[in-house]
Amino acid sequence: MSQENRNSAPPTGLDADEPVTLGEIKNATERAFKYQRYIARRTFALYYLAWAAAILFVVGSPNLMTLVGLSGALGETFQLIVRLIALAGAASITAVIFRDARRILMVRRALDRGKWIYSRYAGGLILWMFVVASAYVVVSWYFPTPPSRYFPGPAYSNLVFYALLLPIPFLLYRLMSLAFPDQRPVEGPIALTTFAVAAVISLALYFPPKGNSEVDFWKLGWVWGATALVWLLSAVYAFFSAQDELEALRS
Amino acid sequence: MAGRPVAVPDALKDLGERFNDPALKSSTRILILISLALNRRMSVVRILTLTGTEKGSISNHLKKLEASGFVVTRTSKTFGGYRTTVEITQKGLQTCIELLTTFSNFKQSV
Repeated sequence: MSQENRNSAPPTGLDADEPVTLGEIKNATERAFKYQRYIARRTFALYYLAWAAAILFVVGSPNLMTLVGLSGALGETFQLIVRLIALAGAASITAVIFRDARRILMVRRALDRGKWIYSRYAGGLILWMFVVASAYVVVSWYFPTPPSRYFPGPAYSNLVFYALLLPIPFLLYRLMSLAFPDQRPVEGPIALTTFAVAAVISLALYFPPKGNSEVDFWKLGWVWGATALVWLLSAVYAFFSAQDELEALRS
Repeated sequence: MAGRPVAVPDALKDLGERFNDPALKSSTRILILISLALNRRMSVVRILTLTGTEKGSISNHLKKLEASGFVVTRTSKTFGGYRTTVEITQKGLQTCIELLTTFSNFKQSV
């Protein structure tokens, strides 16, 4: 095979075993990253879907409790379990996103020479989530709403919770730009903006500190329901766009 | 992993040494190795989509990568039949990173 042909040939096919050219390495790298983008978009589709479901379960768990006919301590426990399962599922998908972003950046770092900023953002997000969870537990504990001592409903904990949710979209936006270094998919910023707006509106609904009886739950339900819907649509769009990217790679 | 730019002759020598491994004497195998470095594990079906090559050819490429200790293949039974997955080893990952670093060094040197 001539040098020219070897340089222009795509990194596919029954190539003979001989030292590859720099052009072939470049082509192989570009193709691998394009394929990676397809994989990342599919993973993000799952991520949006998991969080849409988690939001719906967290917001709708009281309705679910009524639907299955539970009340009192049993009902509260049921709600807590439903919320924990939904959040654990969404968190595990988030962990996959983190793991993948870390690996992509490790390879990219070898090519880009030293742009190693993943740990700062990933560490920041994990730390922030820990602060959110801790603050929620502490505030719930010290400002309980009788008769429940453990279950959300206290005047301050929800306020703290929504306030602490605010920086998460910004950190996720940065992580998204690391997972898609060339161009962020359009559904990502839309989903994150919706999340941020929902957190701000929720904060406004709970401010000044109010007990559950004083909060307009219909508005809260609509806000988070709309957020879940946007995330669901983002999931669908990401999934089908990923297919388009795969088709482009094939052609 | 990434260091200061190296002199062109050193980078060339590095690049030459990296390609001495028989498993790296194919652009398809390099593509598979980079993709596995990005994904850690891939099914053979996905590798076929990625490379656009035939199943027999891929099997040959994977055997060579496995012989060099860069990947391991596993076949497991699923609801839809048998599924073969390929996973990059630590050695494969290290080699891929070194190869790309050397390639990057060379690009920056010239």
